[in-house]
Amino acid sequence: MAEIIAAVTTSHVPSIGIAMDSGITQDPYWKPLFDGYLPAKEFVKELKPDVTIVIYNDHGLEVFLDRVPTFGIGAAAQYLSGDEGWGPRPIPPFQGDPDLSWHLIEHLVAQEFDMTMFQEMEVDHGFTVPMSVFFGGPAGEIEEWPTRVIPITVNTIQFPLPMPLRCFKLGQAIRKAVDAYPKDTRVLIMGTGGMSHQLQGERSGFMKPDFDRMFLDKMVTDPMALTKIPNGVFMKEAGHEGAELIMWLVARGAMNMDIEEVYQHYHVSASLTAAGLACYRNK
Amino acid sequence: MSSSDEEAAGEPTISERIEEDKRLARSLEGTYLFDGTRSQKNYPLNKMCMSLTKRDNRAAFAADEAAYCAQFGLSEESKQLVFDRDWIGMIRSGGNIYYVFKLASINHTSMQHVGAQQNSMTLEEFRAKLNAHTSK
Repeated sequence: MAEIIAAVTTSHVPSIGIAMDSGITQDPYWKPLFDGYLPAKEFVKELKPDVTIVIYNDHGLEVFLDRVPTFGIGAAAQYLSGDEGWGPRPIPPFQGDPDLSWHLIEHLVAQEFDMTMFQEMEVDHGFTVPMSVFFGGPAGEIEEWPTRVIPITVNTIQFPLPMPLRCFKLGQAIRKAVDAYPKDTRVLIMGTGGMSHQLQGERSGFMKPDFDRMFLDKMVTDPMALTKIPNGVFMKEAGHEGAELIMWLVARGAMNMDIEEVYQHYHVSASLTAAGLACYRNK
Repeated sequence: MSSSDEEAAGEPTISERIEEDKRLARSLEGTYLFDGTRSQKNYPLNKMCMSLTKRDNRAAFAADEAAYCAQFGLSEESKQLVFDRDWIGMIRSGGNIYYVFKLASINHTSMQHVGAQQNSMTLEEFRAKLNAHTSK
């Protein structure tokens, strides 16, 4: 039987990808961030997941404003790093798991989550940067990804965004779907985005470490409290773009109510973003 | 629960919840809630920026910015914002930061530069603003 073996969460920032791809992770600006990632790399290495489900938002690669799926899922055999406007990242292709993708689609729709299905899909920094952070070497280097992947997208670009509780429930539905998958498969769920940051407007540069630390604490102790925060409040406390934190709640929903935080790293800042990362195991 | 039950329980209606969320988001200074209203404001600008995810389109844009923008039906005002790389002007006019940033990338302009310009700050001043969070 399949099983969700752990959850990991991290911010996704284009410049973190650029730092890895241009070999400057040991520069004084970046070193504290990348040093903080090392224990998380050890954690996922020992987990040896067969499949990693990556929860992220597309930032204008596959999704434009002409059609915006609130929730989407990849069902491709392979996913390539796409060109977001500054060229694709120089990383190997990701291998998908169409059989598990279609199982998830069937089971999510049966649980009333009407996913948009992608059979052809490129992935952007929201997906690739977290993968490099967790599965890449100390400087993000990677020859071959040690896990198959399934992308799940959440709209965090055009409001209204899905409600935080809905995101949590999507995680619960993913958990049920994985539990019902008959093949022995070790599944890691990865929630990405956040933490506090705002990129647009005169408020760009806004960050709020107090809110982020509260969020990190409640991820473990009281996730239901986080699901009750309205998206307007997420925007106020975490920034217009920081509302991406709702995607951490998808990963949280896929875990037991009682979890253990194995590792946490919080760094202000990676460019304009307060960069948070955490690793969780079920109790 | 029916809507009358919600009212009886003193819970906000769905309309009230939506309005409260928007009111709060719109009350944030220097923030431009990217909802349906704003998404309709300057669709051509966002569409032009989105097209820059293709290398050939970037070359065509670089060769003749005005002609390229005209293909997407940008208003004269929006074209000028593009020529001037006026990031805050683009955001105010309905540009979405993720699409607009693709235009910034053409000139290797970083998000920190975009942030500084939106704040009417020099890059050094803006970096000081970012670093000020470190100690908190």
